[in-house]
Amino acid sequence: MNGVRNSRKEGSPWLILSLAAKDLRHELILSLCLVMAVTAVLGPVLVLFGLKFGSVQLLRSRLIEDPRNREIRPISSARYQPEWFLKMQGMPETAFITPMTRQISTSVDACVAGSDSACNGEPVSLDLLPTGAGDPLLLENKGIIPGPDGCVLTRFAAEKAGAKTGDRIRVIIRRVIGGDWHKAALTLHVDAVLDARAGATKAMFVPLSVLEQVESYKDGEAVPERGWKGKQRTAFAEFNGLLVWLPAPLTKLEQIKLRTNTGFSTVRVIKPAEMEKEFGFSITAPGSIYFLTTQKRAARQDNIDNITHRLRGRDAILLPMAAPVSALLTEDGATRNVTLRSLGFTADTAKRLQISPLPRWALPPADSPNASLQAFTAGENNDHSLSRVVQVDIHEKNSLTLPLLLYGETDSTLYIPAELGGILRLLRDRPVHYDAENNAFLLSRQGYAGFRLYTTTIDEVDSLRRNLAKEGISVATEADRIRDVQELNHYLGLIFYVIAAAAAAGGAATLAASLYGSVERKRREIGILRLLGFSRFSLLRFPLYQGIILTFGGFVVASIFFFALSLLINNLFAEMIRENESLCTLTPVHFALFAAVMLAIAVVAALGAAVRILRLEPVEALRDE
Amino acid sequence: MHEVSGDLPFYTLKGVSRRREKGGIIFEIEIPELIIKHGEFIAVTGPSGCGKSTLLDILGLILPPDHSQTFTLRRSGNPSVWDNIATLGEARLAALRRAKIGYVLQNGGLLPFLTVRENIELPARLNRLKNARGRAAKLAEKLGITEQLDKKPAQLSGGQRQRAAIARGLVHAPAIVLADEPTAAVDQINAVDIRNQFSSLARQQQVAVLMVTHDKKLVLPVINRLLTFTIEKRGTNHTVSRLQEVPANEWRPQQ
Repeated sequence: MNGVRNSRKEGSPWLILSLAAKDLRHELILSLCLVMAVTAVLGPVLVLFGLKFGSVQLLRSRLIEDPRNREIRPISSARYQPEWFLKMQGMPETAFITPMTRQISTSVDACVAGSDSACNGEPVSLDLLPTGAGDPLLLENKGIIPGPDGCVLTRFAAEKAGAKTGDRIRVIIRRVIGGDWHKAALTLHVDAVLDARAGATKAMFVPLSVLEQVESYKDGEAVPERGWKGKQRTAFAEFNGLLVWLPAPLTKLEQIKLRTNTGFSTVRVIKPAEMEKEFGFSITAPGSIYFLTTQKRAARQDNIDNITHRLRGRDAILLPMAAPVSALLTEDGATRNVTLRSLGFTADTAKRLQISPLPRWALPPADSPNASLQAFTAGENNDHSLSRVVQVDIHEKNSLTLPLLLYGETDSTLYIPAELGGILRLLRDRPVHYDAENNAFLLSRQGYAGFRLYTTTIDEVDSLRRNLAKEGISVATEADRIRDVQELNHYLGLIFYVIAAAAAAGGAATLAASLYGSVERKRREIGILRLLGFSRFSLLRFPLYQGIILTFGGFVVASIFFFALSLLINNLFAEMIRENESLCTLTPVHFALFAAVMLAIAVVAALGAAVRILRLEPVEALRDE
Repeated sequence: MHEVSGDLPFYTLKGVSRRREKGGIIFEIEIPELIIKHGEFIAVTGPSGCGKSTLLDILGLILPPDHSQTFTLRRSGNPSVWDNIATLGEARLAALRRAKIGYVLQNGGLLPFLTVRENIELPARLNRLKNARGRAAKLAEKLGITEQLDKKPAQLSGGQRQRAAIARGLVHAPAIVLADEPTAAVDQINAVDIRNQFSSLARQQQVAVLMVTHDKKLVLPVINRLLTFTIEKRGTNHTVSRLQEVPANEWRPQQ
């Protein structure tokens, strides 16, 4: 007879699945009861998990992820250089850092401005704080980063000043100079008011540039951008030393006088024969040569003036000496390295001192306003028509870019006036920038007194704190608070996992009992299936498939239950949670995980029933009536 | 498919016995010799408790005998080979069961969660036979239960249920159908009808039938052989029931 050739295979692989499903459908009510039993166990577990996840997430966002807990504050004020900020910004732990001015500069008066920019009501005292792109305290508290003439207020500052988003705020800055009160004001647009969570301070967040202007003003300086008057911060020349030529030698006493209260500390006699080696030129005119140097700081103009004063009437010629500076010269798009050598003498002086070898350069009229911004190459180039402007970049400790009026062919050594050389020498100590509009060298900011720093997550606060401590920067953090919340999170998680494990065990037991009972009730049917030729082992799939189907059904119903309940919970607590927050929530990953765990539980539960099937003899199933 | 002729034996049992002990009482069933040929219609009668069901279970490969001299089934694909059942494992026995044996149980033994059609098709599907639906429909038509095909067994009358069970027993063209009192629960007219349909379908398909029945009169007109049990007491607590063939001249008086 046919059919035996196929005897190795028991029908299609889906045959038992379809039988298992048809059996469940046949006893629909009973199956639904089992689904409900699974739901009864799984539903509350899902809600429990949703609550745990949601509430802990909420805690995390409110406590752990609160930017305030990620803040690192310097304890004492120091001087942080721009390079340091760049370095910190580049670190992966740093989410945001902005330089901050001295504390004393941040206090201002503010009021809501009327249409005429005058105050509407009493001004209140506010603290200015710098901000910038990416500031988490602002962005995570419903704020935005203020524009160049904008500001963001904390809730308390806004309440105190009676301001709201869209208002204009008049900021009044005061300073005392020589016993006189000065007052300046600027108007800022309120771009946002922060959540109360951002802190209980009366703070006004402004772009760093605004705060810098306020600090400059308070320091008595002029702020041309705002039209605030004050003193200019002009750069000054600094020299390595001062060469003094005298027709007649100085006595020992006179030498000592030169280093008494002049700023210079040593006076060295220079032998003309040894000059060239040290200075690149020598003075051949008969007379005595001395080299005056300072000890700590470089020599400045007032030091030189002192010597001029002391040597009055002695026909002395003073040559301030600044060390050569390397620079990058850009001309017509091409760049080359050059050495800028400063010369402390004019053509006339050079002739008088019989400088040797005499650099053959020409000087423009001494009263030229560009006097300090020129360079010459050695050679017979009196032809001023060859002069052109080139760009020079200097990278000492500080960088400076400036235009130079260059005479003559480009050479690797350019000679520059002593005053310019002195200013370039200053770059070693202080940042300087060239103000083209006023044709002046101005001192730049010398770093910042403090900073506002936020780490990426709370977990990095402590390591960054330790790194900063290594740099000698002591900081304050919310480390204790972070540790408390992390522990709370940990213990909460533990408790919920214990409950969930118990519930999962209960669910498995329910399912196992149900499946076992169902196999027991279907002994006869299973006996018939065996009789028809299903093997003992293939029928193990019968309760397995049923378990999986029932569990999956329970899972689906429990998920619907969960969504309904989470909606209800979130509505009940709508007052306490913010818009995008949820007290009871799960991610798709959680659902996938739950489905996997439930599948495992279904398999484990079906095992009991499977063991029963293995033991079941078709004979006893058929003959027990 | 028709390489087997009507007279060819395919099922041989010699010296097969099965012993059961319960509360100190020993009951033993002995089958000295039973050789079944293709297409034979065999009836087994005897008082209740004589071991008819045990015989069915042994033949149905769901109850292994304690002893067997010969217990072999001819292999379908290769008729010269006999499979020794005593040496086969569970999976091979299940395979033999599903391919070579059909069952008609007392109350039909239909699966309650399947429709009549699904019930009848199941052995065909289990054997991966082509056109399971067509085979089932054809048998159902011959048995007059076409209208019942899409009903669940619970909605059927006793007679319809037995007819469905017969269709299920025959659908996969087994070598033998084991029937356990298939007409016990139906009225006389239905019983005669079922008997006739069953025997004619079995003969058409050259399927052997071994039917356990208490109604000897009903089956006499259609059977080829009649088996019965003789009870022998060996002491107070030991009963031996031995399968015995009733000679044709004893039950076929008119011939």
